[in-house]
Amino acid sequence: MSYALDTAVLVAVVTNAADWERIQREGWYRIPLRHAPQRLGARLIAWYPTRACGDERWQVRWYAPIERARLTTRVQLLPNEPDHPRANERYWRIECGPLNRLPRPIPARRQQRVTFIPTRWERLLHAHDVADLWIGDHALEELCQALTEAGYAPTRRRLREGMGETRSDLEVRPTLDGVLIRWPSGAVRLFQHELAWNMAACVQRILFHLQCSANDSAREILLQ
Amino acid sequence: MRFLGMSGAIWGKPELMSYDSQRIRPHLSVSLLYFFDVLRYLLQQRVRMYRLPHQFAPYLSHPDRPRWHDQVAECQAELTELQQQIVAAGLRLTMHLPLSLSFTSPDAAVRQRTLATIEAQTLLLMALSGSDSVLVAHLGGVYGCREQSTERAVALLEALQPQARALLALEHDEHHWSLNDALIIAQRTHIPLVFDWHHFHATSAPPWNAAEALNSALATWPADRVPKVHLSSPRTEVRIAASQRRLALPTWREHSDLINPFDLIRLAQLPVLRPFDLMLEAKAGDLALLRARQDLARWLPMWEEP
Repeated sequence: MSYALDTAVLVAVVTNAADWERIQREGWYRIPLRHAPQRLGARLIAWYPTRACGDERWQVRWYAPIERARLTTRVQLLPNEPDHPRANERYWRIECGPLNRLPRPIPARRQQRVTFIPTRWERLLHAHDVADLWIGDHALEELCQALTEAGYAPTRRRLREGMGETRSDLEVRPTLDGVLIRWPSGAVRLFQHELAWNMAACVQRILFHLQCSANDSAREILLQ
Repeated sequence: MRFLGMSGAIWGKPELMSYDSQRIRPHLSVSLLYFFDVLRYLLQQRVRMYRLPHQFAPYLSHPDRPRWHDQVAECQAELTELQQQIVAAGLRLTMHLPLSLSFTSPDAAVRQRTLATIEAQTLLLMALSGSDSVLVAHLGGVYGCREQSTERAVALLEALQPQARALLALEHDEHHWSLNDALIIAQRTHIPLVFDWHHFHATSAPPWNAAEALNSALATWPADRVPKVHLSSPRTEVRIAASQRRLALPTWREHSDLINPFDLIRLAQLPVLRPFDLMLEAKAGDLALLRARQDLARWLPMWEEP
């Protein structure tokens, strides 16, 4: 079956052999409600098995359509483990259709901590590394692409990384209401609605400020 | 005016989907997964009223797909979890019935399908957000004789279960049922009427007495339900027609991307009998709502969304 390139896909980690077995034989996967990702809605689910899953480990090879999602408790999912400390915690049971193999498995070249990656079908087809699957925010992607095309090398930061020191020449950092673009001598803050309305104007604004900073630096060097 | 509401796509976060438009057989539980994500965004933006797409659970009452009819019962746990979040957020949900349904059709099968859809969508809305939600429906065509169509609509509306009547609201349109026509049915059946700014102006002749028209619709709402009003502005752009060989003039029927701020301010300043929630029917969805808030802050600074 073919999917539109922008079809939503959730890549999910599998950390034990029993879960991997259930996915393959029974067609369901579980996610603890309190650890569920911020974006759960997807048409397809793909898996990233870890060391415990034998030969399939550290690569994304299998995917399936999501058919049904149920909210239930762990003990209902795994009735033979009634005394588990999290027996009464709530879990999503994601039920899938038949498993399909990607034309080319996506390896994790660096062993990284992966839990969930919301991505798109296009990335699943073309990624060379699990790290390529991250798409994050649509507007941020577009902004980074535009800055790259303008000759800069923006570094994406994640919201959870906080507001520490700027570690690169140009950083793109999401905030709760938009994005902060920082470089060693300046910063521009853009709100989500500004990005959504007029991406081109936002890029122009960043480039203008970057150019001003570069001119200031050049002037300082000349004056020294 | 109490809350502003939005319908349509989430443009501020295009990666969020209100429903799966590609899937052939979406189970309600999969739509609910999408809605968990949308709800998070609505809370971030402090949106207090949201229209669910009618495709949210498309086979809920489809006569040829009986095995999909129990989806609401099958999703009880997921709906309960969502309802808790919706109620905690104070979000009011609404839904619009598909235009293919009709209360007035001479075809009994169409009327039966209308009835079944209303009952099914009522179950879904009640499970999601309780009796505060609104299910909006147009009346249908006139089919040659307005009196007979009126009688068919009244009979069907009176046959509805009390729970469905408690959520349903009628809406006038700009083709068949003007505000006054729809008011007659609303008053006879005690089903409230949604005032639609665009339809009202498109179907009545000036001088428009918008305050009187609005208040006549507001008066149809029971005391324990906050009335709902629709506002949209006509699209004004000249566009290149599909053939690419001619320009297409605007029809004034299509909705524009944004709400005309002067219509918004005029509506917000009308003397009204009681507060209402305002659904913005604009193609730019959430962006139109954010812009409307900015416009209100600029031209009507004393207005504040609770």
